[in-house]
Amino acid sequence: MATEPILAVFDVPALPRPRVARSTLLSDYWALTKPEVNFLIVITTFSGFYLGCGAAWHDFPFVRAINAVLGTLLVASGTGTLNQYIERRFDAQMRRTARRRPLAAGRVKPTAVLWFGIVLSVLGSVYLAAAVNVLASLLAMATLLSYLLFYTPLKRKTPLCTVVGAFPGAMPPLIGWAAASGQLNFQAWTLYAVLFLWQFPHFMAIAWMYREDYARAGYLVLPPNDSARARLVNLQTVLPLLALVPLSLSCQG
Amino acid sequence: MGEAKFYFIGALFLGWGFLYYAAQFVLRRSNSAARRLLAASIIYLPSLFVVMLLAHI
Repeated sequence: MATEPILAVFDVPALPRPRVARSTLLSDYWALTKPEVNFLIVITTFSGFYLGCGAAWHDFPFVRAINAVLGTLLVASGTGTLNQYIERRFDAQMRRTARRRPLAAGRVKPTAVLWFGIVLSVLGSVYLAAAVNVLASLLAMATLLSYLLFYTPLKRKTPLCTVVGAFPGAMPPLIGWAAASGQLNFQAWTLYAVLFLWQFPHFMAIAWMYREDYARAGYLVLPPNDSARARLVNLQTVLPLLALVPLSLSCQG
Repeated sequence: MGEAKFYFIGALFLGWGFLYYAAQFVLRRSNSAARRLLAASIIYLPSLFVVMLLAHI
């Protein structure tokens, strides 16, 4: 998912939270995979799979579904890890990520993170191709590449990065669908469109909450000018949602 | 209740909720409104997909 850590919502508590002193190597590597994003990836991939296979519960291919979700999770975790590797210097300048992201906090070595990300991504892609099918694997790889090659660098260049990032971000249900049926049809793309549109209000909320942080670290996810920023935030919050709600109503059947 | 009706009502209810918090955010544009919109978005997505699955069982 192209969005930023969803955990952010739980991270602005009324009471000061005790600083987590004990972070083990294991918990640091776990954090690198962005588990809070992975939760939504599991649900949307599985849903895409379930709707794509069209089988009744009694002959639902559980093993294949688990393989599809597992492979997708591995690639998504690899993507998240590699993104943190690329952005390690900037993450260190953001309050939101400086302490929470183990690499930005200097608790793990960049080279180790790079290899961890590569291994997860390759393992996930191969696993999908071997245990599920080639289409699911290709879609997962396309997600990883478009995220890291287009979205990640564009975050520092233009507020339109959100639009670009929403393309790879909406892939999980499509991967699930492809895993179940080996093909994509109109219904699969409808699910894709739902997730595509959903990301805009979701990400605008995050971008607004952390606008100073982003600006400090040199990200251009929102325009620096106040009125231009307000206009873009309003537009990207409301318009996609006005399309999302009627579209979501048509998803049944 | 038919499955299609169940899905329609569920998706409509969730959509209204999401829209409400989006409108609040656009009108106030405060950090607390943003946080509530973020929470609404995180509740909306898995809920919509679960309703979709339930309607297909």
